[in-house]
Amino acid sequence: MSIDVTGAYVYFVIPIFGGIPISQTTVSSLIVTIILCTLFIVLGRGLTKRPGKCQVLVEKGVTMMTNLTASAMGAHNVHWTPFMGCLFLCSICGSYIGLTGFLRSATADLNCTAVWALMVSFIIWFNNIKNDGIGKFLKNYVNPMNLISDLAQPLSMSFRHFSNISVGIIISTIMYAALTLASTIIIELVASAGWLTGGALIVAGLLMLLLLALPAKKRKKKWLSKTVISGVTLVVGLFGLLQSLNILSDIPVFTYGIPAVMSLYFDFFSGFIQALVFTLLSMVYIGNSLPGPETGSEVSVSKSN
Amino acid sequence: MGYFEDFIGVNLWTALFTLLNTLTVIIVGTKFLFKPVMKMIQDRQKEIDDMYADADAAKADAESMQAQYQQKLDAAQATSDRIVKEAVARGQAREEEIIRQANADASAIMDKASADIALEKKKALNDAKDEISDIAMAIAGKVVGRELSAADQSKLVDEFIDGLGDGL
Repeated sequence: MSIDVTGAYVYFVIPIFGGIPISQTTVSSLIVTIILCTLFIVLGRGLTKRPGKCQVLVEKGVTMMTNLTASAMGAHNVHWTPFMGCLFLCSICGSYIGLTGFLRSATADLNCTAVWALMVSFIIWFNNIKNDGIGKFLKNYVNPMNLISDLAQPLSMSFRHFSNISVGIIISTIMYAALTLASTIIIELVASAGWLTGGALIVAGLLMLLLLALPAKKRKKKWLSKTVISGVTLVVGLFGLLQSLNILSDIPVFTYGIPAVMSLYFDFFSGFIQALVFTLLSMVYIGNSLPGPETGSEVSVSKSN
Repeated sequence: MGYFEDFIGVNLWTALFTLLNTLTVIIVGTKFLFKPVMKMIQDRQKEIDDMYADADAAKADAESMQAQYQQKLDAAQATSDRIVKEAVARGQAREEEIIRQANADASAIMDKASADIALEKKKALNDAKDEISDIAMAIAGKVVGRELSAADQSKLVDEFIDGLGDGL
């Protein structure tokens, strides 16, 4: 059994400009764009001073993003909220689109996260040039450490996001392979020991479940683990019996249920956390490159908070 | 036809498409969702602030008006008290005046009455004197047999009466 770790699948190549490859990442990010734009236009229509349920939710989300921006970049930079909100949504949707099963997460491609990280870096460089002038900006790089730190920043940001999401995919793949292998080996073991073993396991599992189901006076300790153990015993016995009788064979029963728990962490949680981290880092880096609060503009902005 | 890319690889076309997609999302999101929603929230906040400011102003207004009315009420109360007090004082003065007047009148009447009485008494006394003198004259004339001159007569009677003294 071998596991291949590959990048995005290239569906086809458009034969112009020396061949434009249309990969899974391109398709995923296009779909995310279409979904997000549709949502933006639909949700942004018909806003009223007395909001409906939908508008309340949208406003709650926008307010959360505004507060996040205000806390990371300062109250005078809340006009960066739309950019940061869109970046966050692109990232989280790009990660979550992998959950559909037939599309690959756009953020599991280095090209995608690198573009975002470079976008942030270009904004920072532009701000620095605007604030200090081109001469001072270039003179800053006489010290090579500054050059290294400015190049390492997009590199680390893009690799952090990319690797967290793609490692989720890899671990899911490995998990499936390992569980398939484990179930094959264990059921084969039971089956080769003869149908009596399977029958005994089924009886043992049923007995354990019965004992657990019986009402006991004292509180049952560790009932969850006991139920799982008896259930696994029952399932292994059942499939071992079926395989020894040559009815069914090689069913990877262990791949049911367990990968879902892993996916909850590696796809849902990690996707959210990485989107948040990427956005927060962008906020902090861009916020640092922007000039500090002016006394004049702060008054007008602080009201919106 | 299709093939797999490297796990970590550079594909400039993918990068370009991602950039375009992201820029589209940012532009559309900014224009259609974030800007209007943020503006709406800001407007509503402003409206609420205005309403609160209005309510505060109205409350302050009402409080000042209440204070004003209270002041006016107090002033009116003081005025009425003063008027009543004055009226009472005036009434008392008038009462005293009337009583004093009545007393004075009464004493004047009494005085006049006493004077009248004294006059009447004197007159009665004089009448009585005249009567007595006439009677005495008559008696004396009868006794003496001659007429006395009126002047002598009168003098005699007076002496007689005086001689009687206050015992009369």
